[in-house]
Amino acid sequence: MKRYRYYMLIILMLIVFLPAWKNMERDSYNDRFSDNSVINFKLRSYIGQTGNEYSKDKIIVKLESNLDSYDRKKIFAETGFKKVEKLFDDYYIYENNERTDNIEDIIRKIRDIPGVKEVEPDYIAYLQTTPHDPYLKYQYYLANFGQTLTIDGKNITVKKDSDIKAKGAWDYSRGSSDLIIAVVDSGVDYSHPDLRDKLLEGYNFVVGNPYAIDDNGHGTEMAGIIGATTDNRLGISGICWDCKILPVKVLDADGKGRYSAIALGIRYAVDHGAKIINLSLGGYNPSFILEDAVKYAFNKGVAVIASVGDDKKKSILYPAAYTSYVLAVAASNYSDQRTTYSNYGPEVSVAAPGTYILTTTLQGKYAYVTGTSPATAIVSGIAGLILSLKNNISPSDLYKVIMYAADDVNEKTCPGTDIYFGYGRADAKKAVSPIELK
Amino acid sequence: MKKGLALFAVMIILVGFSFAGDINFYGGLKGLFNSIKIKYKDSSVENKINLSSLSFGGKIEVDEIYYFSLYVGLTSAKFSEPVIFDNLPFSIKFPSDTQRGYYVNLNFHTYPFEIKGIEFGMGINVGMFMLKNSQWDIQLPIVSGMFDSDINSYDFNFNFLAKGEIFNGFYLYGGPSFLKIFGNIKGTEQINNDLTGEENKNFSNKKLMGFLVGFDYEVEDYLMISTEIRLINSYGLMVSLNYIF
Repeated sequence: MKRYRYYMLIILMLIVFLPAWKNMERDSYNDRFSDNSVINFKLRSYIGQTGNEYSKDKIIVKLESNLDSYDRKKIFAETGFKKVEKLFDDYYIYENNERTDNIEDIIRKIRDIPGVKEVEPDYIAYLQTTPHDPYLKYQYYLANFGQTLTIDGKNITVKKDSDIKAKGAWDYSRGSSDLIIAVVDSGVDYSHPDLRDKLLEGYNFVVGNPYAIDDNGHGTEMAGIIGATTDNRLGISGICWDCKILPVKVLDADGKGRYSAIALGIRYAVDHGAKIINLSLGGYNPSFILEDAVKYAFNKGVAVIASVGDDKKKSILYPAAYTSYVLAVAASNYSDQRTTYSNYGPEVSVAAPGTYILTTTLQGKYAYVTGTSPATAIVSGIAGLILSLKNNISPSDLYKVIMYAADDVNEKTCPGTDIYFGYGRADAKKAVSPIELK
Repeated sequence: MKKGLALFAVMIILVGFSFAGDINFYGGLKGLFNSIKIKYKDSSVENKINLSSLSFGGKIEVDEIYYFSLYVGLTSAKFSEPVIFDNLPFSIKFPSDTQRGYYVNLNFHTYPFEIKGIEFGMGINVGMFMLKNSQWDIQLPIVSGMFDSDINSYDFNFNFLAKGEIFNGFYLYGGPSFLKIFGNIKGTEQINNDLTGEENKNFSNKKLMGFLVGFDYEVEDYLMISTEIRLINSYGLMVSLNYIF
């Protein structure tokens, strides 16, 4: 009797400690399990936007076709599931009331029940993050697979992966319709089919009326890069799929604008809900009013992203040079190299592709554009993806996220930060995807 | 919070002694495994935490009515899915690896009524799982940084109990159980010494009410084993082995 009591004691201790041991060893168990080619799936989690790859309360079972009703009921009872529903032919879906984390174990057990032909999790499919816009293949800056672009009769082969990793970023953020990006520029073409659904009512500071109609094309081009309507089977993909664009016209038909109008435009954008201001413009003269305007935006929690200029000078434009308040963007090319036109200097924060950037233009058309202007619009689009995900982040922290996530693409010649690329070529995926701790 | 609970534990023991009449002491080991479904505050995301502990301590029995116990030991915790910190400047996917730390358990139960050989009473159980802070390096293309985690979990358990002797030295008990589990996973990120962020993910258990059943068994005059199964959310399992002084 005494011996029996001690056996009982040992069994009880095992009952308690076995699950604990199993818990600690689960990582190595999963590794072994993954090597098994019969069933090979693992949980994957995203940032709260997508779930697991399969349902945790359902499995799909295919039974032998010669079973009668009694056999089918017997098999179902043996599985321990609560509900059963016939899908079609010999396929059934077994369902539990609660989700479980050990579907893998359950499937292994059910597979061994006589009469069960196949068993698998009820996998979950997701909307593909590759949008169906026909010109996406020409937008190498979003996803560069080494494609060939034909521009003005000349074939240009771009270098694979010289892009901002937009497709990877879209798994985590596609923008938010609550986020407004102001394009302070030459206005925007309100009738462009790839833009019209994204545009808010803006203002024209050139003539002083509410119609920020583009008579130059530059603003329409920047708006398309940032947020053209995406996955509409038309034209191009914008970077920030769901963001709204606030057109603010400060440049005239010749692409010229007074500092006073630009300052007013910046303040207007801040006061009308913009969280990001794209300034693909600038001048070589410093200015109190311009500095005050970008400072006003910064202090109100609005990020200002501006281009450094296209004159290959070792001097950058204002307001980009006000780096206490502004993120200064230089241009790289389709092979992650320096361009022949981008200004440079210690103020450069980050670079983005700026050569042959396909975007929207006037009269419902599309065009390749080149310069630090499109590079700036690309960074504004990335900023939109980040802010859509983390709406409490300050402009200063937003700039740092963009800079620190950038790829040091010229590290062989200029390791670390440098006057041409700043922290490197912007990388949208690194900026929005979670860092996996190891 | 931690100091307060520890002080509370000491006070309960002192109060127990001050009322002491006939006193028995028990000393021994306790093993615990809890698997609990949790949800994060202000979020629809769910997870599961598995908490295991091995502790030692003692129990004081006063007048065969009041029981006070205090156990301290080691614990390990494992989330079934990674925890995503998505409000930090750079989002972090915190791994579901096992985290280790310390465990304190405080229990009071009493059986003041007896009807036809069945004792009726109530019990309160407080558990603290204090996991060690862990630190990871973050490496970005040019700059680097650190991520620190700090995880704590507390459970408060209130039970109405009925207890009866099934055979000589074997006591079965059980009853409805209220369990509140709450905890916090704090993530702190610092990159390049100028980009910092802190995010707290507060969690609690999904269901509060359940059922508890267990037994105490005097294997010998000097040896008692106890087990307890708690069915709330998922399940909890406890076994203890005590020497009776």
